[in-house]
Amino acid sequence: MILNTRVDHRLLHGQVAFAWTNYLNVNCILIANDTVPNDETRKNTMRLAKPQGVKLIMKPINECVNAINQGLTDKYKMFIVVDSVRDAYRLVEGTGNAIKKLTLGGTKATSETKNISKAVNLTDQEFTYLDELILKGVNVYIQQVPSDKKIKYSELKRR
Amino acid sequence: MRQVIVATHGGLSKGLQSTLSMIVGQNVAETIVTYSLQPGMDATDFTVAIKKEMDSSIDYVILTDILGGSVDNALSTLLEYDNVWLISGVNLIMLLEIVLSENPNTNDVCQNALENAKSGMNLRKTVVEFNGDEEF
Repeated sequence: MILNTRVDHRLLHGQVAFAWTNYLNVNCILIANDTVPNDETRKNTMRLAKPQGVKLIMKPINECVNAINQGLTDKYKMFIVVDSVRDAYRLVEGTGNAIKKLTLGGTKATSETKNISKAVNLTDQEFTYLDELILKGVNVYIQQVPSDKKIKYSELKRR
Repeated sequence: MRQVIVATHGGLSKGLQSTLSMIVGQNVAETIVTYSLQPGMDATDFTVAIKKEMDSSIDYVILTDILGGSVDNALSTLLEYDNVWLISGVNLIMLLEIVLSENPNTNDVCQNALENAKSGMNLRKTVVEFNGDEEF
């Protein structure tokens, strides 16, 4: 069961590891990312951030999609972390309606992004992706840490 | 109910609170009480201040920086109360474990926090090979 999917450009770090896994009571964190599985150094940093008693899986997006579709992840109370809106979109696209909740935790500001909350910055393309996810029935929220108030993406004034 | 108190020499306690706020949010960080001993201050004043506010229905977990230091010594007099736990060598992991725990048994919470805080200390000189299970 997928409890939540979070977009965070830092992927797994202290804040996510401690606050979110506790709050959601998950037993598996899935890092869905195309580069991390081939990067031993980053994999090691994720392993260090992982709380005890929680399983950590780091796989490319297509493998995550296949595993979810094959029901391999059903046995877990799972929290998925991606580092971009695009990857979140790819996961939802690939898995039908397995992902119902998407939390925007943090995305980096660049010259092409618009700031929509303290830690969330989106490009035009990302706005489009998120709008499509809303149409698909995904609940998209902005929430950095569990104790922050959830802000509904669909209720934001933007652009 | 449980009240976490962090008492240290200098600004460490406030720094820990600030970092806690970054990791778990301001509303959680604001639930802890901090005391910072500055030059010219007397740590026994902390004891007096805590005693004044104490409520027998609340468990108090007091975290200090140095075992046997002046802050720790002063606050150790509060151990005469059954609802006080004192842990020295405060660090962030310990604080997170205690603040985030929903276990009502304060004794267990303190024991676990201490163990996890210790295991979070780690010397590395080379990249550690990993061979655990990371498959679906």
